[in-house]
Amino acid sequence: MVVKIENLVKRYGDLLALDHFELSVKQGEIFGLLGPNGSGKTTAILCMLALLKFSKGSVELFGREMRPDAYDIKRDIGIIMQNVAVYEELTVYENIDYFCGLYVSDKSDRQALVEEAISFVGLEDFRKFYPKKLSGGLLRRLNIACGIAHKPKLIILDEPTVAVDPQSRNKILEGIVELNRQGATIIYTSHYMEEVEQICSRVAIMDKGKVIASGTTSELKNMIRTGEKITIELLDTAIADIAKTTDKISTLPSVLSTTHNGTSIQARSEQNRHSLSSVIQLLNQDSIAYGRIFCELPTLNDVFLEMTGKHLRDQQGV
Amino acid sequence: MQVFKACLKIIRHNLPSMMIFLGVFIAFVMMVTLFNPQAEAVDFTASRPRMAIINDDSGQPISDGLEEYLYASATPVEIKSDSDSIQDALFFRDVVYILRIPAGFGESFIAGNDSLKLIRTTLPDSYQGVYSDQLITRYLDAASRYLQTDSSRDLQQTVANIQRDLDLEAEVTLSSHEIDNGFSSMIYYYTFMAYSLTAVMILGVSSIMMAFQQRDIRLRNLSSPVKISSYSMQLVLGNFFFSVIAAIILSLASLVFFQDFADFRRWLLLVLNTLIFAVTMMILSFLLSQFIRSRATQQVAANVVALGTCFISGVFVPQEMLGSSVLAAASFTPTYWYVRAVRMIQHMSTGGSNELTSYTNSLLIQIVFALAFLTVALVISRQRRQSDTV
Repeated sequence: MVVKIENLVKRYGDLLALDHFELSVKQGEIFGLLGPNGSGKTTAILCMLALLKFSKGSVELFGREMRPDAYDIKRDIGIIMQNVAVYEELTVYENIDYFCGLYVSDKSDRQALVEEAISFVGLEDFRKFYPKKLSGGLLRRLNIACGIAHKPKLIILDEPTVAVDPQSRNKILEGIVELNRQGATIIYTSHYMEEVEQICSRVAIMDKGKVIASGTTSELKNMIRTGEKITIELLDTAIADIAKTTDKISTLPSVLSTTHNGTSIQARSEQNRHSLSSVIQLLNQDSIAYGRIFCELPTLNDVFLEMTGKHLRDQQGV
Repeated sequence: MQVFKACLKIIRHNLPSMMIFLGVFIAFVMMVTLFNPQAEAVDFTASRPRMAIINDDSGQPISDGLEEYLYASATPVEIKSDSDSIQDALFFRDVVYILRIPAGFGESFIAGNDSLKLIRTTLPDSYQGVYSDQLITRYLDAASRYLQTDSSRDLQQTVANIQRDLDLEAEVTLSSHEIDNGFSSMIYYYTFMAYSLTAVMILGVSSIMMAFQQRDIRLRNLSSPVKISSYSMQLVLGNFFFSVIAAIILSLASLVFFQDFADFRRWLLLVLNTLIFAVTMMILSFLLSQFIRSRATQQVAANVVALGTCFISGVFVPQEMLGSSVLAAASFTPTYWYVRAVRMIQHMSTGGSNELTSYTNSLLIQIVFALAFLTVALVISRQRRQSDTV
């Protein structure tokens, strides 16, 4: 195990930030820590790095206890914080060189590593630029370069794509996968489920300071009752007829729940069961005019919704 | 030494804003050098008030002697004796003092009868008027003493004696004020340097500390394998190096500006005072930077602290001209003791042990200030660090 956290408890006054938090990350994984804002992801990361005191529990990295003075362990860790943590007064090159220099003292080794990091994040044309001259996306890439230049074995990325344009986001995600391919173990925290689904081999879902479920994305999706979600776009249909047909759909044995809003009907099927053909048959039977029909598999948001009654993002008062 | 090197790079990046304060300083030094090359007088010349004397007692030796003595000590101005001419002469500042010796004044004075008085007209609150009064009093006192003791009553001889006595002057040698070329300008330079040094220290140190105190940068630094003690030591070293280098550069610049200055011993004393002041202000800046979170606050702090302490401590206005309450308040700032030490060096005679002791005391008080600032800064810094991170 690269990371092994057991029974971690952290309090901020009366607020319980981490509630007997447990986590295990294997070597070579891209491990996603998914949870809404305020769920305790950053607190867990800071405790893991011994940057924050905790009341109870233990943290082991690379099989050794992590303490503030565990400098040998720190040497193998790269950290990329949620906010861009670079010096405004230093150029792109100087910033990467500075942070790399905290780990690598040999100047020529460092020079090669800095150049490699610059090329990895695609900042070759900006090496003499000061951070305030860079766009948001380029700044994020600089932030990542500062955290990975020394070639750490464990890279912790705390929401590195917040407020980043789609193009830069894709570039960052591709970079993370490439770092993992080169041998680094990655811990990736985010509240964007699409990103986590896209790159992570295993995921832990956090809420209120504890892990409520963990596993691969398909394992997590199999933990819930909800299966496929069918959405039918309706064409010029009377409300009374829609309601009648929706009721009929809900009586199908494979359907868990249905909703309608006057222009569309939504039906949720049970896990591993298919309702599409039966639904279409009912629509035809009732002569309901319909346009497009979408059939989606459950997402991690559905997993989170079913487990907590809340959405992952701040859309329903998370 | 990554942290130390980063400190220097941060300073280099912030040099333009510091150069503004140094530019003001250099401009001031140039003005002092150009417009005040002989800033301090090296000899004494008595003031000669413009005086008109209307002697209605002409022919009487005592009165004539007074007129002659006053004209020898003042610049005589002739005016008409009517009331309008006298008022006009005073109004237009043709004269500052008009003395009318009434008829019979001499005889009355000899008789010891003070019923007849000299009629004096002068500008209100004029120092030349006061000085003229002193000249008259001096003559009359001397005359009075001779008349009391000289039984011969030879008035011509008495007046001659008075004149001879009053002509006597003591020889004065300004041993402690040997003004060599450029010394007074050098003193101005080092006095005014307090302003620039304070502003530059606050800007420099707070720039370093603002950069390193950003939460995420601090977390990134603390998660690295650099020992916390080494990290802190490099940070201290960076600030210390900056303050000492700034003080040395400004001190060496004084030799460039005032190349005629030859008193190396006094220059070394000035440099030592500057070094201690720079380090004290560096620590004060470290304390202030616990509260500085933005560039705007930084500029405000630099201006308010530098101008405020310098105004009350005698940088812009000599300490001798400041009120006692202002000086009492100023004595709670290191700037006051820095300026005081500079003034002591200015008035220091060769080998004066008392002055050297006072100078040393001023340095020690600055060091005490530095220790006090450091203690408070460390307590605040520790409390803030403990509030969130390890």
